[in-house]
Parts: sequence; structure tokens; C-alpha cells
Amino acid sequence: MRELSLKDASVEHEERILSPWALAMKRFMRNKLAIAGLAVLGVITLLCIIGPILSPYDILETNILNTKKPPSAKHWLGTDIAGRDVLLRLLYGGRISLTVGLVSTIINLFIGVLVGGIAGYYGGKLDGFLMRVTDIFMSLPLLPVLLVLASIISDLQITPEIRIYYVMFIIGALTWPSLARLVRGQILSLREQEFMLATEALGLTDGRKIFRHLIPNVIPIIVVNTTLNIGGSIIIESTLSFLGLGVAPPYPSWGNMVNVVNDFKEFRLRPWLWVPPGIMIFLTVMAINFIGNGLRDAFDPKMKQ
Amino acid sequence: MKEYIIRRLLQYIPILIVTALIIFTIVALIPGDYIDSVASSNPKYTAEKIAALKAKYGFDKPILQRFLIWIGNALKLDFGESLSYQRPVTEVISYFMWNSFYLAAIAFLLEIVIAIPIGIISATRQYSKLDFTVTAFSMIGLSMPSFFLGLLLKKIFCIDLQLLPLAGMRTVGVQYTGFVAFWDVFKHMLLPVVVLALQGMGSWMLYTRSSMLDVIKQDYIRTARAKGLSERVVIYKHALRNAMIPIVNLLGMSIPGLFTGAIITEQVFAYPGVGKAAVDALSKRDYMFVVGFNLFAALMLFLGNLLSDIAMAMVDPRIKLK
Repeated sequence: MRELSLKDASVEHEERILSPWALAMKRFMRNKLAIAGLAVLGVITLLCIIGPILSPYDILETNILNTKKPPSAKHWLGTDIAGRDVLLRLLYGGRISLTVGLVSTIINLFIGVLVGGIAGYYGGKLDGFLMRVTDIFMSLPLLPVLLVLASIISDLQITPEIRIYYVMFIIGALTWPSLARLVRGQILSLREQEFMLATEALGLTDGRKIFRHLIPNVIPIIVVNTTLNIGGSIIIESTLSFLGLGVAPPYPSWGNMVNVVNDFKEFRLRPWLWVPPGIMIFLTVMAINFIGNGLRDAFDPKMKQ
Repeated sequence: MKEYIIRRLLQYIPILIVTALIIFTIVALIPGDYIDSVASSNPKYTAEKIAALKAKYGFDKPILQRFLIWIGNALKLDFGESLSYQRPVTEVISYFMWNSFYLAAIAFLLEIVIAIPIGIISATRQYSKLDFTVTAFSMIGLSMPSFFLGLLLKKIFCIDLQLLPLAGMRTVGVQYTGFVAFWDVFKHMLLPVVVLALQGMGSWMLYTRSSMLDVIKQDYIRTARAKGLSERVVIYKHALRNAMIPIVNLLGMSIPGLFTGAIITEQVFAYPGVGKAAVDALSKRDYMFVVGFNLFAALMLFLGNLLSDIAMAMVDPRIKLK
């Protein structure tokens, strides 16, 4: 008798109606690739945060007696041209690359959602104007223009520390138009739906309409886009830094560590200098892409099995 | 259709002018110019000579005035002179453009011939081992930065195995003819093509797969199956036609981009394409060329959008261009 009631209770528990968010969460947790991506990204982030603290070396410490050494027990990934520990630089570079990816995505998110949201919600002349601006930004070829902007920054003689912020800014400031269009399109189609008419009929305030009814419906697409954008920004940063136009020494980033290949001897003889950062970029971006795709599948009811 | 194209072109003109102004301004904001860049490595350039040269090329005038002069000439299809090549910008671009096009076009053909069929098969067997492998492979291709993939292949095949030449498009200093010349270019182009194709294949596979999945889940496909049609007819006749619409759209969009060059891959393999020429020009402060190249890339972007609209209208009778 007692067993039966327990069973009943569990059935009741199973049948509890889940909110769309909880459903999406459940679907996400079932996606093995997405969970693997989350785990890999978590480990990389933790290593980059904790690693430099535990390292016996100092990030700016050079040692001219111990340069260009292959990996050993003392220096797991060897040392570079200035005798610095490559592993420490790799982890420190990870901090910078991850931060650049994250911050430039936040800038992209801020501008994109603001422009797309306003254009979509208010429509009319404002929409027309904002969309022309978006069109102009979209008509700029991304990589060539980024290269020009980055070479302005590298010629401005600013300190390498400040330069990192400029790099974040230009990446964010050039990648927002696609998000703005996405948000605008989404809001335009939501506005035509019955539940928005209902909010009108109920006499809700603008603020309540926007924040309680529109935004929650737009968030899934923003979350997916933003996640994938972090990966994209990391690739852009590493590409700029690889060309010597992004994050500048002495600060390491995964991209500028690969820059040593411009010295043909380093490229040929010392793969430990440039292979590990390349692998880190690849692993991080892949983990982010898996998470992003997992989120997309989780939010998109069409993909439901 | 003709009306639509003309209207799109007219609408694009103001955007193009603003785009040109933005590109011109940011390029002009880079401190220093080609004269400074040459003079810094050559002590023969005296202050007067530098000033005279700057006056000759108009570098001493304010940005807006320079822009107006430049755009006035641009209307006559004169985009200025590339100082590092001592040739008109249009001539330099059209010279390097074809090298870029050969490289990108071969990779592009490989991508679509391999990736689209695989994407279709992968979608018809969703959640199978094959589908899983295809998705994982695509994600690897999408997540690998092109410079790193290029460097790895170069290290393995050119340095460790010594099978392929390191850089360029032809072996320098020898004049091959006939098949030997072809073989020489082939060996030089192999790795850059592989890098571009591996990267592109990922997105084409994912795109085809998801477009196919969208269609397969629609009601008319269920109806086709319910009618008792064979699976082959359902997939390759009923589903494929509609699944190809977004693919054709993307194909149209990609074609003009084949001319703008793969900046990073060309750079890694020192391949003489327009993308590498642009990066070189940037470091030499050859601004007319940089402006010309950026504008050329913007134009190709626009052409891609236009082409994709036209392609859509051609394959999808539901779409009418107005």
C-alpha cells in the first residue's frame, strides 16, 4: 500500500508541467556534446584563473640563461625567446583571450539588442533610420576593415595594456549588425502575434509589455547568438593578434603567441611555442560552439524528438 | 526582375557613398603615409623632398578635401594609384584578384561537391553514427582558426615530410612549361586549397543538414510517405527540392566573395592573392590600394546579396521580387 502511494507520487512528479525554460534546460542536459563542451570550457577557464597563481614563475620574469628550451620537468611546455615559461604564458594568454572574447561580445550584445529592440518595437522613422545605419555597417567587409582599424590602434603608440581594450571595442563595434537585425525581426514577428494583442487589450504598460512579454521571447535567440559570438570573437582576436595587430607583447594572448612563426627558425624548430596556443584556441572555440548548438537545439521546439 | 535589380542598385548608391566615406576616413586616420614609410628607411629623402612628394600626391590636404577629390575621380572609375606597385589601383586588384579566385574557386567547388551530398545523407539518418561524425567534423572545421590549420599542415607536409613547397604560387627563378608548370602550381596550391575547403565544408554540411531536416519534418513529406511513395522519391524528389532553396541562396551569396581573397590563408602560405596584397599594402602604408581593396570587398558583399536574392527568386516560385 505504501509502495503504491510512493509510486503515485512519483508519477505526479513526472507529470508536473515544466516551464519552457526548465524544458529547454532538460533538453540541454541531455545533449552530450553540449555538456562535454561545458566541461571543457569550465576546465580551461579554471586553469586560466588558478594556473598562474600556482605557477612558480612570474609572467614578466625573463631569464636569458634559460631561453628556447624544449619542454622539461621544470618547464612543462618549455621556455620562449626571453626564457619565460610557456605554460604560464599560455594560461595567462587564456585569461586575456577569454576576456577579449567575452567583453567584445558584451559590447556587441549591448549595441545589437538596443538598436534591434528600439527599431523593432517603435518602428516608423526611427526604425528606418536605425536600419539604414545597420545596412551601412553590414556593407563594410569585416576582416579588411578590422585590419585597418587594428593598424590605427597599433600605430597610436598607446600602451599595450590600454590597447587590449581598444581591440575589444573594435571587435564588438563591428559585429553587432547581424544581432540587431535578428532582434528586430524577432520583435516584429512577435508584435503581430495574438498574445501581444492580449497585452494591449489588458492595458498593460509599455514597460510591462516589453520586459514581461517581449524580451522573454527574444532571449533564447539572443542567448544562442551571444554564445556563438564569444567563439567568433576569440577567433577574430587571435587572428588579429597573429598578424601582429591585436593584443601586443609583453601581454600574451593565444593569437600573439602563435605570432612567433613569423620567425622561420622558431616555426621549424620550436613547435612548443606555437602549437599549444593554437590548440587552446581550437578547443575553447569548439567547446563554445558545442554549447551554442546545444542551446539552439534546446530552445528550438522544432528540433524536439 | 530587371526593374528590381535596377532599384536595388539605385538604393545601394547612397549606402556605397557612406561606406566609401567611412573606409576612406578610417584609412586616412592611420598615422603616416606611404611617403613616410619609404622615407623612414631611406636617408636620401630630405624634409623638402618629403613635403614636395606629399603635396604631389595630395597627402597634405585635409581628409574631407581628399575624399571629395578621390570620389570625384572614382566616379570616373579612377580609384587612384597604388604607390607601392606604381600602377592604378584597379589594375593591381584585377591582377591579383584572379590568383585569389582560382584558389577560392577550386576550394569552393570541392566544398559543395563533397559537403552538400554528405549533409543530405546525414539529415536522412538523423542521430545515426554517421550523422554524429558529420556534425562533429563540421564543428572541428568551424572551430579551427584558419591560420593555425594552415601552419599545422605547413609544418607537417612542407617541413617534416618535405613533400610540398613552402610558399608562393610558383617556384621562383625557374621557367616551367606545359605539364611541369601545371604540376608546380598544383603543388603550391594544394595546401591553401585544403585549408579553405576543410573550413568551408563544415558550414556547408551543417547548413545543408539543418535545411534538409527542416523540410523532412514538414507535413507534405508525411503525406508523400503516406501515399506510399518510395523513400528515395520522397527524399530526393520531394524534400530535396525545397531543402535546396536556402542552399542556392547561400551559393549566390558566396560567389562574388571568391574574388576578394582569403586574407589569412593567403598570408600564411604567402600566396600572391589580393588578400595578401592588401595586408602588404597596409603595412607599407599604400593607402589608395587599401581603400580600393576595402571598397572592392564591400562591392562584392553587395553583389553577393543581390545575387542571392535573384537566385532565390529563380528557384522559388513563391518569391516575387518587387
